[in-house]
Amino acid sequence: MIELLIPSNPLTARFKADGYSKLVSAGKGFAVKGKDMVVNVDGGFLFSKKDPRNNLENYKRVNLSTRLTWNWERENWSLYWAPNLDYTGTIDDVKKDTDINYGAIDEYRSTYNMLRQTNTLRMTFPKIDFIKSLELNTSIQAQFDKLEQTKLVAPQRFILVPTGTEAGEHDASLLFSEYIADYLCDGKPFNSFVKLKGNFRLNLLNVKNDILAGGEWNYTKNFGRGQAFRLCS
Amino acid sequence: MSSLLLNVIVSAQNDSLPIIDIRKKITENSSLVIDFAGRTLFNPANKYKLYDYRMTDVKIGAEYEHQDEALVVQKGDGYVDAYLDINTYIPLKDYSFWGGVKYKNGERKNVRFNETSDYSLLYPYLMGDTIGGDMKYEVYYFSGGYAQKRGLWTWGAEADLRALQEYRGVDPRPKNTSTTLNISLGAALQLPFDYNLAFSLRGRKYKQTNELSFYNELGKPNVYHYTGLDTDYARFRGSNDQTHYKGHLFGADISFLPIDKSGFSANLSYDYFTFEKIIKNLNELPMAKASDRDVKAELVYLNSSHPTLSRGVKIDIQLLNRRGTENIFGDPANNNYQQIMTIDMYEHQVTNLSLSGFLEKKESNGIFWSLMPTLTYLDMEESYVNPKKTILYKHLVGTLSAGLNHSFGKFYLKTGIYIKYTHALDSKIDLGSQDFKNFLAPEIVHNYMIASKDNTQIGINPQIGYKLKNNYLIYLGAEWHYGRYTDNINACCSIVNIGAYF
Repeated sequence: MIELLIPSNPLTARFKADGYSKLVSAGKGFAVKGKDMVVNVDGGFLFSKKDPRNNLENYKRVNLSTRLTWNWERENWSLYWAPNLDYTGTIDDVKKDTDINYGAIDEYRSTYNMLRQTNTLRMTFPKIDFIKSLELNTSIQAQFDKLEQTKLVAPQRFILVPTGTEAGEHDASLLFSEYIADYLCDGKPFNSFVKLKGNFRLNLLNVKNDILAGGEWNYTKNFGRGQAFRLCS
Repeated sequence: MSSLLLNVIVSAQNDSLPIIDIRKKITENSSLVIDFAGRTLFNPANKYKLYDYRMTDVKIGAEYEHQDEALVVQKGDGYVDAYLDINTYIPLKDYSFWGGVKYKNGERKNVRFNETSDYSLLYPYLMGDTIGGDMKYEVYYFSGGYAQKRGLWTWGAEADLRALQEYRGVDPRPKNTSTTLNISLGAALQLPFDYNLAFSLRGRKYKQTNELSFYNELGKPNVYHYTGLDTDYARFRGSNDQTHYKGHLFGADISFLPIDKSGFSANLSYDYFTFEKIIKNLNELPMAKASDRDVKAELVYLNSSHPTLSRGVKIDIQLLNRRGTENIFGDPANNNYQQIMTIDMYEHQVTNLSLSGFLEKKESNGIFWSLMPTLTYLDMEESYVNPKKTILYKHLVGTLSAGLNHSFGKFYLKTGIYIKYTHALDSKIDLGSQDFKNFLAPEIVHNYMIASKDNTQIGINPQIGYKLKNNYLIYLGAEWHYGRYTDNINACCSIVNIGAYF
């Protein structure tokens, strides 16, 4: 089986602009001398605004990506390894709108960071008829999302504020006037998987049988605090 | 909104012809001989072999302007922006083509009594309020043209598209999107005595959506729909803040010009532009309309037969008349306003006569210099019918420009300087009865006081370039313009850019 060499990409840069978003990106590939290895890197910046007048509904995003492909060719086996590392994150500061933040009280801040590492490892055995290929895929992705908001709330009538988190009778607090609420939504979703699969061929009585076998393991959990809010006077 | 996608891959020029020094190309392409008879270039067929050499200019730059007080209140008292500008002209054996791309992103400062974009095009039917503020803008511009010669005929076509977005992130919040598409087609017939008779037709489609929002819940000011001088359409004053404009232009011109750019040339052109202002909140009510009739004529004598000396003289006339028409409506039924009348209420007349000349010489040491004096008579009159209001002024403007190009070693210097003096011959303002309080009158008077008085403007634009191995020239350029107006009001504009010619 012949694996085609993946050539390194030439330097490319891209600029895209319209009334709602601006994008700048650049990428380049490098071939490593003496080894059958290519490294491609690229990065980009996106500034997106749903409505240019709205200072709250927009975001600035940075993304970086590194991809490597490495081939080993030996007499009895060949190995292909392709790890990737990706990062995407937002770089917004606190968002305020002076016309609707009730005397510089309302604030909004959202951050998003995602890191992902994937691997593909493929092995072939040209001298072993039974095994066509063995492939291992792994992926780990961690995300860090945080949304923080401070808001002035002016209720039209008094409201009840619960003081307990379990069912039952509890004392309650009454709020008669406006108050400032802090809100936090903290998310840390984590995903990972490992997949191993094999491609086999069995020749029986002049009948070629292709067998695909494998297994997969997944793990997903959110390590964040979720919604957390508290009242402050 | 159109989008700009630009992949930048730099490649070297690959001509099979002998390589001409890039500095010689720049000098030849910037000769005054080329666009002294500027009106003939309205016709794309006349751009065939406009320049002898292929050239591309790529530059990025930044501009800054500050005025002590706004010269025109509705345009603001300054701006700051950054831009990317690419232009190319490619003359080949039987055809030429050209194109350009421009992107600009900036902010106009302190724009007041005007929340509409393209003030110079849509006056006086603007929308505004008493607050105003800084206005961010983005401009996308694309152009392209083609001209081909077959036998005695040359034909050409050209189109350009400009998309503009302006907005503000604090109250009052306009969001304006305007699109201008120009197309022109032209042809030229070669006559027996080395002259071309050329004619062209052009059209324009213009649109602007002009929407104002207020995010603050505590209240908002009145929104005004101006109708000229210090008047507004009082009936629709209030909270009608969604408008749009649509317009179109038809034009034609005929010109007579020498093939070798030496001799007499003449051009006569006529353009008719009209636009309508529509208030969307009132069920697409057509509030007003304006129409321009613009006649231009030019007579030029050029002598560029001598290899090192060129000279020319030109007489240029422009007569522009804008008429504004207001529609009158009856009582609404189910938000339907019945139009009952149309009245011509506004007129703006501009007469512009100018006499200019130029002298361009290449010295034996390689220095290339030019002089261009111009004398212009400008007569402007603006009037409103009822209540009767008038503004008029007459100016005599004298301008002297000089230019210099010189190559030394691997360097290249190109610079220009000018001085312009405007002398007011006559001026008058009459805004009629001031019995009722009119908030806009002080601003109209302010604009008039500056425009109708003497002023002096000077400017310089040096550019220094360095020639690279592959016949590229990278350069650093700057411009500085300064104006001194009545009451010691100063206006200063600075531009810096870096770029490359190849």
